[in-house]
Amino acid sequence: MSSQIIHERLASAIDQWVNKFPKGEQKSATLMALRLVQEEYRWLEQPHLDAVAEYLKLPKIDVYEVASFYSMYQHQPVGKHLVKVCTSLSCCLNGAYGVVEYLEGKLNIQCGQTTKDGRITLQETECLAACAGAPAICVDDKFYHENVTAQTIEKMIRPLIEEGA
Amino acid sequence: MSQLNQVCYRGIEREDSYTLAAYQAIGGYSAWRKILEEKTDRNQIIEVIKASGLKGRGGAGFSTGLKWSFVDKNNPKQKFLVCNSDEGEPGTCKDTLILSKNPHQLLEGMAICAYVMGATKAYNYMRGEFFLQYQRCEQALNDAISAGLLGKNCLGTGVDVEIFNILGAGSYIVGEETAMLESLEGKRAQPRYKPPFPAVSGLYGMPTIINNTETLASVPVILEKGAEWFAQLGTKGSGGTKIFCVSGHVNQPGVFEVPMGIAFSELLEMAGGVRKGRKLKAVIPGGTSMRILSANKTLSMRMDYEDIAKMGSALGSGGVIIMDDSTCMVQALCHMMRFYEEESCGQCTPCREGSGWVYKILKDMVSGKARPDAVEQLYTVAKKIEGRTICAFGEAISWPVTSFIDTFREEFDYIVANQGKSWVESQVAGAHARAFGWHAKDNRDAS
Repeated sequence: MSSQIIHERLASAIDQWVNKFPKGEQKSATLMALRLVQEEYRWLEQPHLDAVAEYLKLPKIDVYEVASFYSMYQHQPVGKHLVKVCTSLSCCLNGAYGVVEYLEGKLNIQCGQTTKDGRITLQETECLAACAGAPAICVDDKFYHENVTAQTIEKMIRPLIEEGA
Repeated sequence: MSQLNQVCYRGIEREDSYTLAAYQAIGGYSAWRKILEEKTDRNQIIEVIKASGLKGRGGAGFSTGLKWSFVDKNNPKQKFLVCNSDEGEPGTCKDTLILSKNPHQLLEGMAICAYVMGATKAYNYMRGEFFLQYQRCEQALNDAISAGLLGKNCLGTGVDVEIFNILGAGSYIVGEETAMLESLEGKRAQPRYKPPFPAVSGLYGMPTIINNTETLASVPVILEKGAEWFAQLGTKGSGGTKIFCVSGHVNQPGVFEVPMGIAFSELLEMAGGVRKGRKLKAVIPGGTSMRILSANKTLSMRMDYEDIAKMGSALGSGGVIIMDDSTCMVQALCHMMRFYEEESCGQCTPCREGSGWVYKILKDMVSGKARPDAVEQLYTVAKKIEGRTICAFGEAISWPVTSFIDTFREEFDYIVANQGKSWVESQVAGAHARAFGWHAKDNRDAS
């Protein structure tokens, strides 16, 4: 049931987004509702999507359509942290694939995979609008790291690995 | 040297530039206050914006004043303003700085535009990753509301302008204006057929104007200092300033707000010039959706709408990507087209299927598995997408592919004839490692 997935705190966070749109246009809050649910449960499974549909009083298909379109939604299990390396042109011209390779070696996984301890998932991403700071990495879809070098990557990764569970 | 940061980046050198106090200290919100006090005639504001020569800074370059005039302000329907802060065109990183360092100027520009078109609600749609920028904009919005400048009954004048900051969820095509409306309605970001144009039927079917962040953030300064002042910063057809994001193979990549019409060579110099030890080979002047230019075309080029068009490309979003002589153009194009294949919304067959074929042929070329006629095939597929899609994404595939081949044909022929060996590699040993390698950041040395 939606109330188990969308508990009180989550519901009030979603409501804040519903209230940004005109009355009766709660469908507009679908994108953020999915994001908030994903932040809580890390990735989206069908019950999550159905709960969002029920909560926003929408046909399930409306939510499935949105969930399958936008790239920030994760549909497979991912780690506690997402490390996304930009591989658009400006970053490529500054060694983005070297960055990917370095992280693959460092984390002992292939791009797209999650570390054994479930802490970090490594992914490629499209242009992050940080081209003047290439190569760029975005952590947890929020925190940018620009002009990355082996040293700054070490510094960026350490807290992700070591922080308390 | 051209003067930097006179319009959208005005004042951002201050540590606290994003605060209401800092913004008001440099004259912020004075244009908005004046409008509210004097109840300025809307048409008068439109005329000022028209006279300033301000054009849409998101890529299309359409006259902002003219766009504003398309909405019938007497239409009793709810009207909406949407600010396009989705910034996703590869090579472009300018709006992010407006959002994080000068959010009040954007809010003031939005308020003015909303007033002109008679919209009481406005949305600032930021890309999903702009979380910190979003927080800055929320803080700015709350402070402006507390000061009575925004929200309901602004400064007690009875004018309502409610602004809402919105976050996306990862999609390049959201940057297309009608796709953004779909996304705001909580749907897949698939561009709409036009007409009807958003000015007639936009968000929730209501009259809507969509402007880019840089466009709207320019407005307060234009009204403060006058259309004449702004227009004269630039050139005849390209008034004002433009933010250029210079990235790729340069010593000091960066974001520069400069007068329109600045020489390309001066802009390149501002970015520290081409990486140590290398020569300029090619430039994409306006984000990767625009046509590529060989170095010789850029020698005397001026950075404005007209001159870049004369050279065969477009100013686009101002994302200037520099490539040096170690760059294999086939590999560069392959990297670019991975993006377009990924981001095609899938609505129109020529784009959905074409983007996949373009990327596949390029991958085959790079891995040495391409058919002998692959270059022709690639060109034909790309050419056939152009003009056959609902939105300009079709051109964003077609233009780069055809211009890369037109300009660097020998590299494409060579890689097909030599099973994936790059022409550049045959000329410059270790070229791939230099062009796409990860170099020490302190000197960006690629010699």
